[in-house]
Amino acid sequence: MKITITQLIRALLFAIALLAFSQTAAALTVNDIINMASQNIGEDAIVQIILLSEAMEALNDEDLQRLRSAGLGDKTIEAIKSKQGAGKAELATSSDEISESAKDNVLRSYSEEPSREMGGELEQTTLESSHVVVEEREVSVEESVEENADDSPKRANGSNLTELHSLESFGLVQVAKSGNLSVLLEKFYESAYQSFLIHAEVQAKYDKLQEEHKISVMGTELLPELQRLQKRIPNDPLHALAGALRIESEHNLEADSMAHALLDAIVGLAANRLGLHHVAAQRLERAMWFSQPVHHFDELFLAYQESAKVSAHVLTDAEKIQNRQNFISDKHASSFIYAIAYSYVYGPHKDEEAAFELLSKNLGEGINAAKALLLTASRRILPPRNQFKTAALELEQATSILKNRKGDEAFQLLNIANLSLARIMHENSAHEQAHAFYGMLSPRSHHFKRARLEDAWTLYFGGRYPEAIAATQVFYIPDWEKDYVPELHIIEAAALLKLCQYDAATAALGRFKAKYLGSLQALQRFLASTKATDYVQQLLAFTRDSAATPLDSRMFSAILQDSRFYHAYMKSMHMRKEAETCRSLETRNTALKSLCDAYAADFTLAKSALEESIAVALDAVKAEILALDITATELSIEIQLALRAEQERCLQLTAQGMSCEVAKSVPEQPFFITENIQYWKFNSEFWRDELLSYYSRVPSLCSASAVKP
Amino acid sequence: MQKIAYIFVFLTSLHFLPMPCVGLEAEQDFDALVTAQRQTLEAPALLSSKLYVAEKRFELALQMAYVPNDDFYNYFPIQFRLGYHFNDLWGLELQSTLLLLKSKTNLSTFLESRSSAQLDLEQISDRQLARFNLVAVFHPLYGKWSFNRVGLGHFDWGVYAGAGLVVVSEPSSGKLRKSARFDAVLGSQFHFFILPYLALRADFAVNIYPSFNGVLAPCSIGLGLSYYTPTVP
Repeated sequence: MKITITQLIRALLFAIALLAFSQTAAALTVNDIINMASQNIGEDAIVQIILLSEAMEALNDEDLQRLRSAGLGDKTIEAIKSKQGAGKAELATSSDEISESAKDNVLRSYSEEPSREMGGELEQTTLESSHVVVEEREVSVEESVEENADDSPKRANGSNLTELHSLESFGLVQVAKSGNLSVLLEKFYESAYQSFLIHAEVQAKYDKLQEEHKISVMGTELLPELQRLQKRIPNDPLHALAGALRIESEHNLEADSMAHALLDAIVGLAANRLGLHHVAAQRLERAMWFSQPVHHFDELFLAYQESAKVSAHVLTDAEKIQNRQNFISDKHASSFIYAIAYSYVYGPHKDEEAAFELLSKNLGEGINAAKALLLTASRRILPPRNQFKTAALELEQATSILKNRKGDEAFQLLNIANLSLARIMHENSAHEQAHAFYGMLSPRSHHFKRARLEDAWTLYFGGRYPEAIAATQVFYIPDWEKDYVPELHIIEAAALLKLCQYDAATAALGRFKAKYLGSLQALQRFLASTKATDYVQQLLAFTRDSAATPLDSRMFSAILQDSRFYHAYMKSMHMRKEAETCRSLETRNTALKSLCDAYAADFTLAKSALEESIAVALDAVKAEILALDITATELSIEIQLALRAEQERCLQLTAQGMSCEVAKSVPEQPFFITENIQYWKFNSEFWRDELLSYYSRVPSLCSASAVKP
Repeated sequence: MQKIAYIFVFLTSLHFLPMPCVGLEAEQDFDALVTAQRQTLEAPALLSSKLYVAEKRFELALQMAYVPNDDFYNYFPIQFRLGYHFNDLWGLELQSTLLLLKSKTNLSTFLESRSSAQLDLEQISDRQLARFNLVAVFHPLYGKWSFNRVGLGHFDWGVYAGAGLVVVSEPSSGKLRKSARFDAVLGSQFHFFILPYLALRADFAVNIYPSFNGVLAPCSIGLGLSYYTPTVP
C-alpha cells in the first residue's frame, strides 16, 4: 500500500487533534459517536475514544439502534456500557497508551483513503518541508496536553465533534482532501481552537508554519459564525448580508485571510441574490483574490459574472485573478479566461499582450472562443498593430463558430463580427467585399442602421452611386425618419453630384440644412436654457411629451445613440434601481444603512457622470453638424461650379449655332426592389425582408447634356 | 389675508421650478428606450403603414357563392356584406344571403326519376331561403404575392365567427311553412387588393343550424368584390 507524504501528514494532524480532544473530552454523547463513525473513523479508534472519555450517558434502545445503523458493532456498545458512570481518574492512567493506539487507527484509516493530490513538483517540496515541522508539533502537543490536562477549559455548550463535522460544509475539509497543506493547517487550527486547546507552544509552532506558508490566521475565530451566515444565503440572503456587514464593521481583517475572503464571498453572494449587483461584483472579485483554493470558487465566479454583466464591472486586478486560474473548474475555464483577458484590455491595468497570450489558449468551440476572437481582432486592427489580415481571419473564424449557435448573444456577436469584417474591408478599400459583409447584417441587429449608412459610403467610394443612394432608402422608414443621421443627405448629395443630378443634389443639401441646421438651433437654445443638472429631467420629459421641452427629436435620438451616454445611463439606471432596492431592504434590516449610504453616494456620482456624458454627447453633435455643414457648403460650391461649367459649354455650343439644353434631374428617384431576378417598384411599404434589396436606377446625366442641332 | 398671500407665494414659486414634474412612468419608459438601443430589435415584417388599409373603413361586398353539400339542392346564393374595420385586425360584418337560385342535385333527380308518384322534394327536406348573420372578423395576416414574375399583389386573410337567423321553408303537417331558425357561422376570407378601394374577395363559410330533421351544416364558397369607403373617423 502506498502512503503519500500528504496522507501521512493528514493522519498525524488528525491524530494530534484527536489527542487534543481526548484530553478535554467531557461526557460523550451517542451523537458524538455517530458523528465519529460518519467521518470514517475506525471502530477501534472510536472504542479508544470512548474509553478516554470521562463518562457516558446511559444507553436506551433507540440509541442502540442508531449506533447499529451507523455501522458500529458490539465492541463499541460494550465500551459505552463499560464507561457508563466511569470517572476521570480511570482515564488518566491509560491515556498515553490509548492515544497511541487511536493514532495508529486513524493513521490506518487515512492511509487507505484514495489519493486526491493535485501533484506537481512545487507542491511536493512544500509538503515534505512541512512534514518535519508537523512531527515536531506532534510531540509538543502531547507534552502540552499532559501539562494542561487538568485545567483545560471546557466547552460552554454543544459537542466538539458536531462542530468538527460541520466543517465539512464549510469547505475546509474538502480543501484539505485536495492536498493543500496550508488550508489543512487552517483546519487544524480551527479544530484546536474549537476544542479550547490552544497552547502557547502550539500557537508558536502554528505561527511558524503560518509564516512559512504565508497564511493569515486573522479572523479565524469568526469562521464558525461566517459559516452559519454562508449557509443562510440561499434562504435568507438579507440576514446573511446584514450579518456579514456587521462583522465587517466590528473587525478589521487582514486582506488575504480566510475570514476576509469568506466575508467578501458572503457579502458578494448575498448581494447578488438581492439584486445589489454593483456591490456584489466588487465583493466577489475580492473574494476571488484569496490565495488559497476554496471549494465554491466556481460559484463565486458565476455569481460574479452575473453581477458584472449587470453592473458593467471589469476586473480591477486581472493579474491577481489570473493567478487563481487553477481554482476554476474546466467547465467555466473559458469564461474565466475571457473575463481576465477582457479586463486586461478594458480594465484599469491594461496589458494587451497579456490578454493576447491568454486568449491564444484553446477556448474550445463555444461562444467564449468566438468572443475571444472578436476581442483580439478588435485590438489587432488598431494602430500600431494594424494587423488587418489576421483580424479578418479571426473574425471569419468567429463567424463560423457563431453561425452554428443559437440564442441572442450569438446573434448579436455574429452581426458584430460581420460589421467588423465589413469595416476592415472598407478600410482597405475592398469595397465589393465590404458591401457583401454589410449586407449580412440582419435588420434586427441594433447595428443595422449604422451598417446601412456605412454601406452607402462604401458603395459611394466604390463608384456605385445609384446603389449608394438606394442604400440610404431605409432611413425613410417613417419611424426612422426622426433618427439622427446627418450624413444621410450628405451621401445623397455627394452621390447625386457624381451622377450630375445637380438639382436633386441641391435638394438633398436643402434637406440637410432644413433638418439639421434647424436642430442645431434647437440644440443651442436647449444648451442656453438648461442647466446640466436638468439634462436628465429634460430627457425624461421629452419621453412623455416631446413638445414639453426645447429638445428636438433628432437631438434626442443623437443622445440615445451616443455610446458614452448609453454606458453612463445604464450605470446610473442600475445604480438607481439598486439604491432603491437597498433602501427598501434597509427598512427590514438597519445593518444595511452604511451600504445604502454608499449606494446613494455612488448614484450621485453616476448621475454626475451621466450629466457630463449628455453634455459631451451634445457637444459632439454640435461639432458634427457644424463639420457636415462645411462639407455641405463645399458640395454646394462644387454643384455651382459644375452647373457653371455646363452653362459655359452650352453657351459655347449656342455660339457654334447649336441649341443646348442642360439635362434636368430626375424629379423622383425610382427605387426597385429586387429579389433574385425579380424586380418590382417600391410602393411606399417597407418590408423587413426587402430592406437589403433596394436598387436605384437614378441615371447619370454627366454625358447627357442634350445637344440639339 | 395673510394665508391667501402665503398660498399665492407658494403657487407662484411653483412656476420657478426648473422642470415640470416627471413621473415614474417617464423614467421607466426612458429606461426601456435606452436599454433597447443595444438590444435585438423587434422589427415587424412591415416597418411602415400598409399600402392597403382597412382600418376605420366600411367594406361593401357583393359575391356569388355555391353551396355544394346540400343533399337535394345546389344553391347559388347571392351574398351581401357590410362590414366596418375598427382597426387592421378587428371588424364587424353584417352578412345577408339570398338563396333564390338553386338547382336539383343528382340525388334529387334520381329520386324523382325512380318515384312512381310525383315526388315533392319540399316534403322531405327543408329549403333555405335567406340568412342574416352578424359576425366578428379577425384579420391577422397581411402580405404580398407575385405570380410568375408578372406582378405583385397584396392580400389579407382573416377568419370570422358569428350568429344570426336562417329562413327556411319546411314541411309541417303536410303543408309548407316558412320559419326562422338560429344560425351559427364560421368562416374565412381573403381579400386580394386591386386598388386601394377595391379588392377581390374569396370567402368560405360553414353555417350550422337546427333543421326540422336534425342539425345541418351547409358550407358555402363565395367569390366577389369588396369596395372600401374612405376612412370614417
